[in-house]
Amino acid sequence: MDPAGVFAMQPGWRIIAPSSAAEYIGLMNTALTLNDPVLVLEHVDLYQEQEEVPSHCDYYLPLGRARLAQEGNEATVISYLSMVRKTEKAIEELGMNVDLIDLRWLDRASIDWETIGLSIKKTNNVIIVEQGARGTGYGAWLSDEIQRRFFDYLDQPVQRVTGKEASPSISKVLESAAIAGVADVVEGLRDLRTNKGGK
Amino acid sequence: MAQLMRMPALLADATQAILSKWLVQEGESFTTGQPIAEVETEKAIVEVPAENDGVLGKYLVAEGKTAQVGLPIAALLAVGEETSAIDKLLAGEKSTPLNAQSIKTEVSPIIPTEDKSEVSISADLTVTAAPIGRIFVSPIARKLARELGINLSQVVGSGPDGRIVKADIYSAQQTQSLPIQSTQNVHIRVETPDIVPHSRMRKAIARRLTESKQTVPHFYLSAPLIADEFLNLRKQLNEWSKTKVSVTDLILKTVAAAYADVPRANCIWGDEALEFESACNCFQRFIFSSSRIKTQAR
Repeated sequence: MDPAGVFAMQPGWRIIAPSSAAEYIGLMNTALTLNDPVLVLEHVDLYQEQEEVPSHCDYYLPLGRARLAQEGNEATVISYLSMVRKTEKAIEELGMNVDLIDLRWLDRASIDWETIGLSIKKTNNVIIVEQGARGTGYGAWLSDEIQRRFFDYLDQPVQRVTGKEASPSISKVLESAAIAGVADVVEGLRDLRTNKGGK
Repeated sequence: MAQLMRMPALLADATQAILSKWLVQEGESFTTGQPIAEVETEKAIVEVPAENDGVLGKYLVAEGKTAQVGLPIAALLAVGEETSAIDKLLAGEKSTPLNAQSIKTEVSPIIPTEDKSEVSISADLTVTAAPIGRIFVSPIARKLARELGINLSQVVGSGPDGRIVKADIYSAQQTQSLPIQSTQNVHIRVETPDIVPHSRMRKAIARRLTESKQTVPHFYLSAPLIADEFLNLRKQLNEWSKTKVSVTDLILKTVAAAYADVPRANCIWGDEALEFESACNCFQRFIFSSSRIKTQAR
């Protein structure tokens, strides 16, 4: 399961969600300099990845700053952790031209509203991509907050890609149903594009 | 038993008649064969006799009013029957389509049926003028429309379930800033023409004239017309005109100018009335019926 949604309900700690090894180093270094408790989310799927990291590891990613992984005008796609890479694949598959925001900092106190806001005011269409179930999902509070802050800039309801309604128990079938994959993201992006109307 | 008295078909193909006079008062009794009402057709005034003995319960058509053949004109009661039977009878009649037809006939506006394009425009107008329910607009589209001064009731939504989205506002911005052809048509149509209903005599004349045209052999005379000046004028116009001016165009222009001088001639024969048009309408009218003009121009 994806615990980000449950952890983010509780104030009092910062939450980082690195999407790659290089990100992990930069965020961890910053977390260690803070006096606040910091919850670090690591995704087991990312353990298998092999990737290049900078040769010296003493760099710091700024507190409360998201990463704009891709820039475009069609939509604002928000994700974190392992889903960033899957989202990139889905965007590539559809050949879409979107802003992809890798959140990095997930808690209410540290989330980067500046980056999110600038992008929403530009694209007017938002989709949140996460792996876990909808009910406990991180996107629940985020979409709620987005429609409060940016209502007048929205062209459609805040869309969400989540895992389906299944319990990820010992069954392989149930597990793959419970977590969202690239195909789910593609479907979500297609719906978002349809809702934009025009043509 | 209570029953309805219906407008009789006194002429072979008459569709309606005027109820000129009631000969039996409401509440009065009558005997079989006694005239109940006088009905006026195109040709004569005819008395309508009673088929049975009875009491006249209620008039459904007032004196001097026109009624379609077959529609109820009065409620009749059997001798000794209570008046409450009338209400029961009428309640039953209301649900039948016949009554609905009578309402429709009275309300329907007079539209010349020969002119199909005109009819479709007035139909469009009705659609636009009809009260529209809530318009669904995305927040950003609403905001943009307000900023750009776009009337949302004129925008067609392309989002889910017809929601107006940002893309629609931008496309509407392009069309609404241009003068729209259809809006002009509607504008012209809004000026309601003077309507003079046909008298029964005029209707009879029209029908007879049509019949004679259809059934009596005709012969035609033609005469050559020297129109050199006219054709020269056309040649001169075409020397500098960007679009080609045809003979038909010139005849149109001439006729339109003549109508401005003699407005009484600028009218259209409708099924129910003569429609007198305002000067600007005659152009449009001629464009719509241009096939007829072309035949005359040849």
